[in-house]
Amino acid sequence: METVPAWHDRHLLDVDTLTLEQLELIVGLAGRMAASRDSGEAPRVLAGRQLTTLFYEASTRTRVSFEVAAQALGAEVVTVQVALSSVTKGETLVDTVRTLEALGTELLVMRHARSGAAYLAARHVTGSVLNAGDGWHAHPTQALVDLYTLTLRLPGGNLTPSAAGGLAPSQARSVGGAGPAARPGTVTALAGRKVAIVGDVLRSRVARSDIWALTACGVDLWLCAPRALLGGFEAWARAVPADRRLTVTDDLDAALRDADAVMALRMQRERDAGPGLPSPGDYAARYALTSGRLRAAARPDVVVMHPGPVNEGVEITAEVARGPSSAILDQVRNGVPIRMAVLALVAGAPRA
Amino acid sequence: MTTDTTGPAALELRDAWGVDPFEGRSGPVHVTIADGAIAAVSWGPPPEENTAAGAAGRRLVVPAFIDLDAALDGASADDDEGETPATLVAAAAHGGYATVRVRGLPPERLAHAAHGLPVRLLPAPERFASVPPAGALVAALLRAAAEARTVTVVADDAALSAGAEASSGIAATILGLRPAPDAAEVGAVQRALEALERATTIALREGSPGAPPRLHVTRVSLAESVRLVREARMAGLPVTADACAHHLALHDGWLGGDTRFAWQAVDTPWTGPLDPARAYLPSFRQRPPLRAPADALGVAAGIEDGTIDAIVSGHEPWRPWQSEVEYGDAPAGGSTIEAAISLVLGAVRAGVLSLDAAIRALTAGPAAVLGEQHRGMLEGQTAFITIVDPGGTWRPGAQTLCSRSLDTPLAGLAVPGRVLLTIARGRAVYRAAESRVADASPAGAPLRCGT
Repeated sequence: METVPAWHDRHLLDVDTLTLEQLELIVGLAGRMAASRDSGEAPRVLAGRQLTTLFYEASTRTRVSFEVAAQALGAEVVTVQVALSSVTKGETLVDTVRTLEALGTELLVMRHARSGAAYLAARHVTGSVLNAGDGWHAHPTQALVDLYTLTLRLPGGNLTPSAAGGLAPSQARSVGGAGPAARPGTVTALAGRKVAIVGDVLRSRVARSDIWALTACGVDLWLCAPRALLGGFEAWARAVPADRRLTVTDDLDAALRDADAVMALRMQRERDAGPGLPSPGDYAARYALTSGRLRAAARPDVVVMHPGPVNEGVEITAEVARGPSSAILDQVRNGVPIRMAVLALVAGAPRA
Repeated sequence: MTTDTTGPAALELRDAWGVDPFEGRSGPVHVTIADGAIAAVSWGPPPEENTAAGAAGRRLVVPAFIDLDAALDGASADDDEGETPATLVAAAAHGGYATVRVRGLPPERLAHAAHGLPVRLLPAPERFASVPPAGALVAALLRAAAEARTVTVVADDAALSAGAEASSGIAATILGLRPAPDAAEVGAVQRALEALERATTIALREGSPGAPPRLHVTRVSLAESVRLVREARMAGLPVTADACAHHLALHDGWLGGDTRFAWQAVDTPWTGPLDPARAYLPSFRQRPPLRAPADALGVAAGIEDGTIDAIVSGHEPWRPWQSEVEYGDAPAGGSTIEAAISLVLGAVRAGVLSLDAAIRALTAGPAAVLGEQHRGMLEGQTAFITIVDPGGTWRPGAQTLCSRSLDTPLAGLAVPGRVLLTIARGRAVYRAAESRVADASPAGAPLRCGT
């Protein structure tokens, strides 16, 4: 594999500042990482470097894929179990990250319940901070995974799903990529594609990061949720610059109409936002992604996505989540090459 | 850079621009101070061009400021990090203040600590930190009226604002911060005014002797709140109001890293992306939260027409360990008393606020809320004077702040207006290092703060 391109920022806090060209670079690098991993030649650009995961909130996909990605690049991986750490004795975030840096951490992957926590950490370390989710605010690697998955799965990308639902066994074996021969399409091919994000956008860091990443690539992005969960997104949509397309609605049919891709978000039961919110049952009745709704409105080859974990029966039916339109497991698998790419990029960026 | 309490002030200030809201005068002025009192004041004719042009290039001489709302941490022991009455006085003096009303310390403790300090520290009255139920507020207004007191209510309904991190709007949405509904403030103001109206009716009906019920609404920040207070005033209700200087000049885009003042942002509000060096700094967390730029302009209009009687500093100095935390856990407030005049002069310079209204809101307005009678800059009066260089700039930070708290939203930014000299009770309590004021006052021991 050729060398990792130069990168300007030793942190990855969000995708809001990334240009179309930078997003293209990341997606392209992820594709090469996937291929190199399949051929057993992943570049060990993190050899001798210590990466620590510091997750104040629960995670399966993000944390494990970061650890797998880091190990694939040759890093020493340390996992902090926050519930067993001195955080329980009241140690502050700033002291915690400085302590970890003193213990050799150069790359800190963190998830925290408070919006902005990763920005605070980044101001107190000389190494790299990668934001694995801060409160309601941002989940940059998830947005990059979503972008990457779309370039692979939408017509014009180089992978189409097997007819049998999910991925064929040969594809399932190549963890971390779409298959040895597949390369991602370009992000510019996404321009004009309609993507709908349906669900609890108010409290969703995935939705916010997706807004930045997808609209930067010219996607015609729609957000759909019950009115109580649309928050200030309508005002944001009215204020986006002319080169970005963002529409906000509580009309699910309008959002799904002719969509190329639909993403369901989980109803965030554990992230309180106040009164006026629908119960899971109410929400499911009106907004769940069902085969019927998709058939009636979306394109026949619509790609269905979900960042996980999935509440089958609430925001999406099991049938759709596991059916032939679903790219959900692709998203999981794609998490590793995307995280390999961002880790390699930030590790090569100038230090403080 | 010197704070001086060792001798009475003596100075001659020629060709300055004076604004004296107590005596209702402004224009070119020469002032002579001798032995701590105003020896001579000579006003020139106002220039034919507009006053803003006339004031430009001249040092500003005004009555020393009065702050209705600063806080100290009464629960803390005296340590090396927390603000004390003495350091608050130094900070206030640097900000041009001679009088500060202070919350957080019991009156006896404040009086003891304030004894001998050159800036007047007044105890703050009891206040409702959240608008109470109507019946309780009406009763409180009637009780207070019988004692010729004013009831102070914070313009907030804590039930609606609890847990909120930012003002509801585009910035809160982009930043993923829990929004505070406008209704938390507007509803509180509405209910407080309704209670005042009811109490006024009852007092009239019962023919109660003495003062009528009076209400002071503190921490107004929304244009709609200003409108409600304006209507109540026009209907004759005895209500006064204050607003923080940072709600005049800053806006919610600051939470994402915007550094434009509100009047610069009103047509193009902040819509991201974030500035990673500045986003989510705890010093931006205020109560009420920083609002949309249009609301800041509503506050400016309220100050201009007198709906808002007083600009307050909202100074609430936190120790580094208290404020160096995640934004959602950070305490509201910060080190704001020293740059309040800078924010106000920024608004004046931008043309959103007249100099006369600005200085009134820092002097005569707060004095009226306190119920104090003041004379202005008259011969024979003991000198309470602040001299400002409106064209100067300074950067709030560790090298320039007198407060022990560096928790200022303006950290490291160049802000307009530099206090050159503050005289309280006839003595210089703050003097800038290069004040260019012909100042013959005896020099005191220098404190390492200020500019």
